[in-house]
Amino acid sequence: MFDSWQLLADGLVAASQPTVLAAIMVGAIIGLFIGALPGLGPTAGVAILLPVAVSFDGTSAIAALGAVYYGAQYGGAVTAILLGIPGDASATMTVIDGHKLARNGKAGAALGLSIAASFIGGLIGLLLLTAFATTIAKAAIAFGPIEMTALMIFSLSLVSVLGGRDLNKAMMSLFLGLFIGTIGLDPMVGLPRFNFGEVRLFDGIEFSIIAVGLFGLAEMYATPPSIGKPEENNRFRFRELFPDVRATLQCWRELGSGSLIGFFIGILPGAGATAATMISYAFAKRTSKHPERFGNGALEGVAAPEAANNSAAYGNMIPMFALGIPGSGTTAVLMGGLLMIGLQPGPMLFQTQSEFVWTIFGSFYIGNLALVAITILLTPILATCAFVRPSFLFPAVIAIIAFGIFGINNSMFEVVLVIGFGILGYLMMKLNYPPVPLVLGMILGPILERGIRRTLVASDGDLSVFLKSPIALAIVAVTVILLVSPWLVSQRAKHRTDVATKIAK
Amino acid sequence: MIPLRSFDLGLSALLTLLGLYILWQGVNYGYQDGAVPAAGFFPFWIGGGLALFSALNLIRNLRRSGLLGTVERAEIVRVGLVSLAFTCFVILSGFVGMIAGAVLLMIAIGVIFGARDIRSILAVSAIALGMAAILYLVFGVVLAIPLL
Repeated sequence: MFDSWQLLADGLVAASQPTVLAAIMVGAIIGLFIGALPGLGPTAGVAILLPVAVSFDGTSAIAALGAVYYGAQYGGAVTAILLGIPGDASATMTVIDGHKLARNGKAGAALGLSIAASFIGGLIGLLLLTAFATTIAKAAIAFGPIEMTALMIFSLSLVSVLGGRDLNKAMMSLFLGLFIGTIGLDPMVGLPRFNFGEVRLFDGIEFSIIAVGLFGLAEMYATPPSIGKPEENNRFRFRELFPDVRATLQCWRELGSGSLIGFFIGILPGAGATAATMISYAFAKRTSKHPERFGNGALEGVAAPEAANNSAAYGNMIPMFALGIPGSGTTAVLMGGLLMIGLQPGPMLFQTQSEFVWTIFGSFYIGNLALVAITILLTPILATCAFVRPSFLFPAVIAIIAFGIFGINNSMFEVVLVIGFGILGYLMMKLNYPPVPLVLGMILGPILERGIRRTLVASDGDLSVFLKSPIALAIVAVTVILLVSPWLVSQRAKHRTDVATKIAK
Repeated sequence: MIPLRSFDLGLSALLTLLGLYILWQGVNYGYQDGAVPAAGFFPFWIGGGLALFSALNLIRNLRRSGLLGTVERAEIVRVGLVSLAFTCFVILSGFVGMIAGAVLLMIAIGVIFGARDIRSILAVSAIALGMAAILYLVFGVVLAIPLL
């Protein structure tokens, strides 16, 4: 454990280099605005910036993308409190009490509390990330190719939790992603597959093309042009926007509970920051001496969800860094970024790229601290973000997408592909096809295929090798439980409904 | 208003066919090489899975109507126009260069997303020119990407 803190200290020094610092600042500011702007969430923001960021060196790229992710958690609260418009889904719970406080003339108290909660939640999340990530990665070092293959199968089974309500559509999305992952040269024998005679598809389809199309373009397509029109009663004096320290100190319990709940919910694949904010809000209300104040402008109602969503962002990174499993859409895009710069997330990353990992963790600490000052300074500007019309914002974003995608391989062919994936992403969004399983399939499919084929080559085609390893067997058992449990739960619910109907008759 | 069900029916049918194509290609690439899997092993199962789940979705949609609600015609037109503007940018960039192409693309996107009066179009044009300068500096100068 001591080693971790020593490595973190080295990481903090490495992350203080001017190039990494600049990447953190740029990422954090962009993240703040993405969080505040309606129509673009953290996943879309990270996806849009992915092709631009990978043009920098590896550490700066991931530091910038990470900063966009946690910066967006800060930014979402500003418009939620001042305007009652959550910049992204995880800021929805903050609207309930935060906007009431702002309307009662306590905008500064609510904003200051949200910044403090974001910082404390982020810090606790980071401390736990530092402590847990290495422990989990060390345990996973014992994993050989068989265990890693079993782990990849388990990751794909997460589709049952990441896929939303319609498992059939989630499976379609997953298989489509797996197919996209097979485009290009076969990893074992070099045979071109599904390239339709196009030489430019020999290396497969760049991950950022899929991410930008499915998350960035699709979200813009679905945004109505009418959003961003100002309301007269959402006006504040600059003086009202300064933080209130006393209000922050009052909520120490909610800050603590929100941070811990957020982190542990964040680790669970598929749960995400939004679920963490809901649970922490409910917990804060249930344990409060004055639950009646919740919903009517309670400071605690801002502290708990804001601490939770920032802490959850770091909890979410544990399975990605330590095991190579993306637990949410944003971490899937971040993982794609790691793969694009030539790094394979998972336990070996801590062994082979230890300096990189700790520099990134160090950059998270610096970014989290810097965001406190940046958010306070930029609050008045962020408050106007919700009024930016799509007709002014989207042209700039679409141009960044076009140049960013072109810049990866200096190819217009890839810009054409992104148009196609934008349309596909829009259709998927409208028809309730979850996009995360597609991304999961595309990222994990090639790794799984290599794992299965290498294992079977080594065992001369004997499939029972997967059952001879106790770790692999345990992972396979958990996978089966994960896949079967939603069906069992629905059957039980159906049985209960049937019984209730019979009794009613 | 356009019923979304028809889109879902079309997409499911398309993905069923794609799944069958992948499966067939998997067989062509070779399923097994002796006792070990060959290049077509993985595509074979992926194609099978995609065809199966897509066909199930297709059948479900055919059996039950009104599952997904509707979408406004204007929204579909907007998606089509943005894609068309993007495609025109790709074609035009080869003739007028990416920077000039991007200015035209941004103005077009602004108009599609609601900038219809003269003041708004002028504002979008100013944003487009400013953004084009930033894009040139970032991509052309700092990142040294050879822009068209």
